[in-house]
Amino acid sequence: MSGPDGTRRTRRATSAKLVVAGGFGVGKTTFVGEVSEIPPLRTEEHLTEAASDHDDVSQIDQKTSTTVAMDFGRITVTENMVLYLFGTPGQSRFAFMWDKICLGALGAVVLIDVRRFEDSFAAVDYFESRNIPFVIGINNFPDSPEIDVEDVREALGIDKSIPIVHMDATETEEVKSTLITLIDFLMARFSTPPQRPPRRKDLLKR
Amino acid sequence: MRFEDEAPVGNEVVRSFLVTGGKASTGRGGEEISLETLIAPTHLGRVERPELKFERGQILDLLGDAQEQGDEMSVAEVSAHLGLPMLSTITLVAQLVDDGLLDVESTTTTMDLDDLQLIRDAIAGLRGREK
Ligand SMILES: Nc1nc2c(ncn2[C@@H]2O[C@H](COP(=O)(O)OP(=O)(O)O)[C@@H](O)[C@H]2O)c(=O)[nH]1
Ligand SMILES: [Mg+2]
Repeated sequence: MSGPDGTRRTRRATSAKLVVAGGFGVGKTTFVGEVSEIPPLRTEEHLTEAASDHDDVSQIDQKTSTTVAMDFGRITVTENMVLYLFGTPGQSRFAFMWDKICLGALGAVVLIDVRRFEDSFAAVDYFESRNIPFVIGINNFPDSPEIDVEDVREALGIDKSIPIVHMDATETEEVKSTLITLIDFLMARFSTPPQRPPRRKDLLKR
Repeated sequence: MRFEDEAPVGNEVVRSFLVTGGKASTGRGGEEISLETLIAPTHLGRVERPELKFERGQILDLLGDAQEQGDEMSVAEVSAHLGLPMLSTITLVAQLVDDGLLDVESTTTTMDLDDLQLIRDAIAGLRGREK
């Protein structure tokens, strides 16, 4: 980093990122805001979708514009290290944007609303396909039905090595322990390099 | 790059290049710019700051102020503070790095077990933000 006088320090800073993913309204922004040292910031991307559903050539110029918003926060780890937490929208059709967001991420938390599992399938598939380690956080809303983690594992079709925790995104301590579950998972992989866990699709096929 | 399960039928996503005039950086700098990359003005950047216009000038102003405060700032923060689309911000920053006006201040490639332990400790020690 540069000092105020612009001199370069010899040791470069490290910046790392974690990703919080899941469907719309699952609690990503709440999660990030709970542990960020700054009020979550928002970055946006305007995407133009060429509507080419039709064979009719006259339709090709019709475009719909979508704004994808992403909230993020930061945690200062040491003087030389900063950790960013990106809450990413779950639409897989913006895969190129996910690549920009997720490339180089240490790992991810996929938030699940058990009333809407399917909203998080795209995120699970994405992290599996990019080999980005992830854990599952079951975000408990007041009217969420009680559910066993193993039933969640089955519904998502994910390997037994992947940690699944119950949590409440509005509680700082629970968000912290979810993140610590992820870091512990990353550290464990560090000491025993994992075989690639089976993919969701393969598990579902059995 | 699409998901086999979720591939949309016939929809094509087109990037908007309005701010960058359609110019994506292909230079050396472009490769290492991610949202979390920390950046700061170079000496040249500080000298040229008054000459720069539009988004380039705004980026140099914002990062120059942060540098004076001794704060590091990432590409994502630049995007958020200036209200610039994130992909355009990445491209603009990459161009400014290529032009020698910004320096990349951070690396992400050195994460080892000790670093993860530091991150774990930092998370465990968080008190939560005042609301
Ligand atoms: N009770 C409760 N409400 C939550 C929880 N997580 C999120 N919410 C609420 O659900 C809504 C959507 O959450 P938000 O974080 O904006 O979801 P996002 O779209 O994934 O970013 C907000 O009104 C939150 O206050 C939770 O764990 N418990
Ligand atoms: Mg949100």
